[in-house]
Formats: sequence, C-alpha cells, structure tokens
Amino acid sequence: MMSRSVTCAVLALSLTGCAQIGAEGGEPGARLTRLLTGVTGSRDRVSDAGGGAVSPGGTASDARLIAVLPSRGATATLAIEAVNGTVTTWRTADNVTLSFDDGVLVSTRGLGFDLMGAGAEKTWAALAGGDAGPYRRQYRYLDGENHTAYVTAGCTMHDRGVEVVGGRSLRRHDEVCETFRFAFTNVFWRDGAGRVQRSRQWIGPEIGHVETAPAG
Amino acid sequence: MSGSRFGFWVAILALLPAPASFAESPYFAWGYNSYGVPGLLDMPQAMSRPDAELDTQAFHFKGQTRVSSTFQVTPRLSGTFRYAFVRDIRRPGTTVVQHRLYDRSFSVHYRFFDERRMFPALAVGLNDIVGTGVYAGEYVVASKTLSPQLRATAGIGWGRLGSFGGFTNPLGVFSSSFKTRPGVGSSFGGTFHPDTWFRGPAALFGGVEWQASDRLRLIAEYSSDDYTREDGVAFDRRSPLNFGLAYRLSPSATLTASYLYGSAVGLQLNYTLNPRFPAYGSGRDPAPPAIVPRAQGGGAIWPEDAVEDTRLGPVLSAALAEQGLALDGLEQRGGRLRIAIRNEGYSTSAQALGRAARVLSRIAPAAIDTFAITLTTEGVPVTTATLSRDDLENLAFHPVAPDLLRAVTRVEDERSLPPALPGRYPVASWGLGPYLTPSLFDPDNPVRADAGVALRGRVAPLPGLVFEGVLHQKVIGNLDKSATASTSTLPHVRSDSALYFQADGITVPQLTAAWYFRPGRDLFGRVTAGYLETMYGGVSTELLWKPQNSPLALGVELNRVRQRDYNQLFDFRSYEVTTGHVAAYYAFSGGIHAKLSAGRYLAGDNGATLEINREFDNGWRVGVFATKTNVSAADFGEGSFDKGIRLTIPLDWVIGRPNRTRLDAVIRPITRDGGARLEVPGRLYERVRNRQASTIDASWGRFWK
Repeated sequence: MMSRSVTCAVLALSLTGCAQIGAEGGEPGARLTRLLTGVTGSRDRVSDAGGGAVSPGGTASDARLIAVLPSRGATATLAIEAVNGTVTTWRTADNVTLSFDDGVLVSTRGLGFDLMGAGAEKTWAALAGGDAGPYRRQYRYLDGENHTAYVTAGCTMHDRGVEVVGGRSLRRHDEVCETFRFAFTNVFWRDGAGRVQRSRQWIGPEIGHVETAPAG
Repeated sequence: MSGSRFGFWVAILALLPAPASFAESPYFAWGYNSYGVPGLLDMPQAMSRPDAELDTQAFHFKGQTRVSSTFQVTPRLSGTFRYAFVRDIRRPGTTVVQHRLYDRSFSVHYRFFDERRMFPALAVGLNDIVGTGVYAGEYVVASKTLSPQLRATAGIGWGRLGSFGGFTNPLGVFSSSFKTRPGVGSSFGGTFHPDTWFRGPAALFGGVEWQASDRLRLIAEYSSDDYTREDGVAFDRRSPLNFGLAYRLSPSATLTASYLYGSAVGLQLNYTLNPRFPAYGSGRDPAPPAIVPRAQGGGAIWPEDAVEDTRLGPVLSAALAEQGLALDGLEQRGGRLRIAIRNEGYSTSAQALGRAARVLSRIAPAAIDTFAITLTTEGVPVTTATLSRDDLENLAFHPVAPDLLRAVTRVEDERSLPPALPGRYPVASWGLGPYLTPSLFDPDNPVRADAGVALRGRVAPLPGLVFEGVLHQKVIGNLDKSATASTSTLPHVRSDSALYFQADGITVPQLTAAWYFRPGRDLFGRVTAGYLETMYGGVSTELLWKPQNSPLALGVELNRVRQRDYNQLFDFRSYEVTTGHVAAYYAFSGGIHAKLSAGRYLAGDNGATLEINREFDNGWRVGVFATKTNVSAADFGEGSFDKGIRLTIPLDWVIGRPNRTRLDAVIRPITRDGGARLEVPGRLYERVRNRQASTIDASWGRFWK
C-alpha cells in the first residue's frame, strides 16, 4: 500500500492521478502523496479563510481555476499545488504553473518565455487605495542565453467601479502599465472582501495576457 | 568522427520554426551578397549583420554554385566559410579550361567605422584568405543610409574586385610593390598569402539598395569583377551592372533573384538563425515542483521524531528521478542533508541544482535546515552547492530571487562522496538507435556519410569506473568511396580513413574501460584503455587542473596507441605511437574561449593547436582551430596545414525541452596526416567546467526554471 502510493505520487506529480490514494494517517507514503499533490499545504488555508472562496489567491483544496491564454487559444483548469506564504501555485495537468501572490500574478512556468518573477507589493497597495500611481513594477525573465532580464513598468491604478461579471458584482481595477517597449493593462475584479476573483494579467511580450476565473 | 550527429541537426534545423524576431537596428546590413558577405548582389557593403547571426545560403549563377555559412563573430567582425562548385573556368593566366572545380574558401569582413549623421560606415574585407585563390579579392567599402529606405554604397577593390575598370593601385604611393599582384606560389592552397593582399590594379564599385516594403528590397550595383576566368567560357559578361530583388519569405528566410552582368539570372536563398534567440525562449520545460515551506507542509511526510529514516533515500531517489536527476548517495549529519546527483536531464547545472533543491524542500525531514548538493560526473564529485532551506523558502517568490539566493549559496570544489544509496551500483544502461557518420566538404565530394544502427552499452560497477562499448551495423553509406588512395609521405594516420569503412558487417568503434578520479584539490584525472576510436586503440591518460571560478585551466594528456585494423574489430596494424599534449584553456570575457595545446601528434610530428571559440551561455559554440606542426606544406599536401570550424548546438535550444545532448560538428575541409589528433571519449575539461561555479553562475537564472 505504502510503496504503491509513494510510487504513484512520485511518478505522477500530476494533481489528478493520486489524490484519491492518499488516505489520512501517519504513513510517509500517504502524507507524501498529499504533500506532492499540494493538498496538505492548502488545508490550513481552508480553515483560516472559512473555505468556499475560489480565486487566484487560493483558499480551498478542491478549488479549481480556469486560465485562458488568448494568444495561444488555450484554456486550462488548474488546481492548487502548493502555498508559500501569501503565494499560491496552481498547476495544470500538463505541467504549467501559475503563481499568484494574493491574486497578483508573480510567476509562470512551463509556457516558454515564462515570467520568472515579479513584485506584487505595489499593486496590493494600489488596489487597497483605489486610484494610485504612478508606481513601478518589476518583471523578471530569462533570455535565450539563460541570463536574467528585468523589465520595469511604470503603472497607475484606476478604480472602474462595480461590474457584473459571471453573475457576480465585482469591483474592477485597471492597472495601466507602460515599459520602454510595451504597454499593457492588468485588470483585477475583486469581491466585497477585497479578494481577487477574476483577472486579466500580463505575462510578457511574447505570451501576452492570461485571463483567470474560478471554475464552475 | 565527432560529428556523428551532424546530419541529425541539419535535419532538425530545416524543420525549426522561425526564431523570435527582434527589432532590427537601422545600422544592420540589409542582406548578404552572393559570397555570403554582408553586401549587395555580387559586391560587399560596409554594415554588419546583427551580432551572433548565423547565415546559411546557396547561390547559383551560370555554372557557379556557392554554398556559404557566415557567422557574425562580434558586432563588427564576420567570418564566412564557402564551398563553391565551379564549372568551366580557365586556369589562372592561361586559356586552359577546367571543367569542374570544387573550391573551399574563407572570408572576413570587418566594420572599422560606424555610420554617423554625415559620415558613412566603413569596412574592410578579404575574400578567400586561405583557399586556392579563385575568389581572392580585397576591398574597402563605405555605406551610408540616406533615408530609412535608401542606402548607397561605394568601394574600392583589389584582386577579383579590381579586375574591371582597374587603375594603378593608389597604395603604390607607399611602396611600388603594391602595383603588381604576385601569383600564388604554392599549389597546395589552404595557406595565407598576405603578400598578395591589396596588391595590383584597383577598381571602384558601388550600388544602391531601396527597402521598398517590409519584405521587398530592390538592389542595383556596379560591379568591379570582370569574371576574367569565366567570361566567354561559362558565360558572356556583357555589362558591369547588376539588378536584383530580395524578398523576405519569413523573419529567417530570404530569396534573392538577380540579373547579373547582362547575361543571366542568379538565384540566392538565405536562412538565418541567431543563437541568442531560441524559438522557444527560455524553454517549455515542464514546470518544476513548487518549493514547499516547512510551515506549509515541507518535509511533513516523516514522523517528527524520526530524524533519520532509511526510507528517505528511496523516496528522494524516486522524486529526483522524476526531475531527470539520478541520486548516487546521501548523508544526513545533524541539520545538514547532503546528496550526490547525476544530472541526466538538463543542459545547465544551475537548473539541475534548482530542481534538486525544490525536491529537497518537499521531502527532506523538517529537522534539516541546510541542503548540500554535490554534482558528479561518472559518479566522481566535482562541486558542492550548499544552501539554506530558510533562504530557499523565503526567496522563492522574491522579485530578485536569483541574485539574493546566489549571494547566500556556497559553490565549492568537492572531492568526497556521501555513502552510496544501497543497491545503487552497478549502474547499467544501454541503447539502440540510428547513427550517422558524415564527412563534409571533402575536396572530391562535399557530402559523404555512413548511416546504420548503433548499439551502446555501459556499466559502472563503482563510482568513477565505467565500461563502455559501441557496435555499429552499417546500412548504407559511401565513406569507403575515396577517389584516390593516399599518397601521403607521412605515416598514414588519417588519410587511409576510407579503408575503415569498407566492412559490411558489425564494427566496434569503441570498447573501453575508463577510470575517473580526483587526485587532489582542483585536480581531475582519467585513464582510459581499450579501443578508443575508429582507428586507434591503446591507453589514454589525462590530468586536468581547473579551480572553481578560474578562467585558466591546465591539462596534460598522454596516450600510447596502436593503429587498429581496417575491419574495426579487435586486431591491430603495426603502426604504434606515443602522442600527447599539454594544454592551456582560458575563458576571456565576452564568451571567447581559447585553448592552446602543444605536443606530439599521431604521425609523430610536433607542433601546436590553437582553438578559439565564441561560446554562449545557452551552450552554443562557434569556433575555429588550426594546427601547425613540423611537417612542411609539401609533405602535408593539399590544405598545407590542419584547420577547421567547430559548431556546437545544444539540442534543448532547438526543441525547447530539457535535454543534455549537444550536437557537435567539426568541418575540416581536408583530413590529412599532419597535425592529426587522437579522439578520446570522456575528455575532462568540458565535463568538469560545466559543473563548476563560473559556468553555474553564467546560467544561474535557470536555477529557478
């Protein structure tokens, strides 16, 4: 039993394959399964947050996120892989991950031209204050020679008021950013508690935007 | 025969999607001329192409086909290697017509002055600097951008480029010797003739380019090439005016059609790629496992009181294997967990370290606060990277994570191994697959190759000890077809190579036992015995001194070998030689790497080899090498001395997926007996350097990929 679930967990890091095998208990195998599927990490968050809410902020272990990459015509459903402080990492079945720091996209993997890292603090502050700006955001990439490259954007935040999206009344905030070579806008739709429920956020010049929404 | 995968990459490059385009600076040359030099149609111009661009092109016009490859070595300097098939050309200074000529030549183009608002860019170039002189010509050229769509070029040429409308060489004011161009004395080709450069009559050439649209460029030029040796034989040269249009089919492909010399249509197809811009960016590598902090479940699979658990090894091994890393051994000492891994997945060690650290963050017991990861090669330790678990957890999503993590990570020389995982040794593997052994740009036939099925097997009974064998079964090929038997006056150490490919049955290109070891700090050793390569067997020994972070490395290699029998099985011929070199490696700034080695070569000749490569941190390498030994040009034969071009393409750059394979091609126009070196599998420098701090740091951003 143990060896079976260990093998399954390590051979299929995917979220779907092993979730049902890991029974509760102290066996390393079972707990490893939960660890690798990211369940353990998010359990605590469920009790903290009261459960139920589904957003890129990440709150429920059975939460699913729908992500759309318009530039590639791709849509995927993601499940929580792990939580690290305020950052939640979501994974697709084909090993693409998106990481959100309290709803703000800070990292992608598995896409090529990935966003390697980004700061979120200024965006949080701006979201909290309604209209804000200008402030700087930094995006980190890896170039074709494996060198770290930074793109700095100057941004302003604009409160666009309440919109009904997907049947819910959400407040829309546009983060309008400009870099030396590109201009882009990140859009955040937040619920009454201030959690980002939907978003349209920039990954980089090659991939463009990703759109996120709770599944179901 | 190190280019056995050459054909493979040729096939792959042909299928490659267009590389990411980038904003072209207005200062870049708009195209390549028929010689593969930044230029107009048949004439050069003064700008350069984007740094690191690699162009491959084919041009055909009236009995002449020129296939060339150009590399923009630095932003100012480009080099072109060219292989031409020429039909119906007079021998120099005679009326005797040669009906078929294969010619290899090499050009350089150097922009020494940048375009200013009121001043043109200036460049100097030499065509055919080491060949037989068919295309020999030199030029100084100026180009000016008149509007974003219009450019003008004017220049002065010598040699071939001074053959039409020539006048007395203006350089004659410095010395009357410039007024006449001496004939090329040696009939062996392949050597420099600086005594002819910029000599003899000079002539003016020029032209204009109009970028009519994003895709279409129109070109008109006045040529100073009289085609003296072709005129009236291959074609009738009626006019100095050439007209053409270049159409960009894609960001990387351009087709040029031209009407040349009032006589016939020329066609040229260019394909460019740039090592700096892979099609898939930093790669579509499957996302790594997320770092899991202890506060959120990292290491929580183990009971809290179980500080050491025998199941840790197998669990860790399986999780690392999932990431393409093989666990050799591990050791837990207090709060420090050390693992020794073989990177079987990634072309950069930095990424292997990152993936291992991520796995450790999830699986290492919570009591562990320090991770030490030892990178090994053939089970022998090279480097240990030590990092704190707290830093890894805290920096995972920091905006400047790479710099901060590197600052608190120790990367140092490692000579010891943690205890091996129970049952880890012997490590055995085998593989069955196709092989291709090409021989390119031969004087008689530009493309010869053997293809067949290869069976490879290896067994490592202990760390550092490796038994390895390769069997080949040829299916098809013409490597055994050589126009003439070797007439070399030296021992036939390489010139009989065609005889080694005559066997129709199974051959054994390699069957060796190798022992890799660490004789001391910063020292690496190797002893290899057996059938080392297609043509030689014996014993090879090597010692390398390569400290972490040092741009300098020193190596000694000593081999005692005997020539193998032509059937590539187990018998030997009588020729036996001791060959060996001392070598100094140096990594200059800007990715320029040089290797100078001196010693005795296979034919017993003494001399030195200089290799200069431009390397990219993604693994690409483009370089040249040349060997001069105490063999005279006459004894050496055609080519005068051994030289060639080396090209290395990492497969992950092509496919955008993790892969360690590097496609290595050596283009050596002529393989002769002078300056010939032994091929030995498992040479130390690359495998050591790729696991050391300076290389890890160069790609450190990949730690997080």
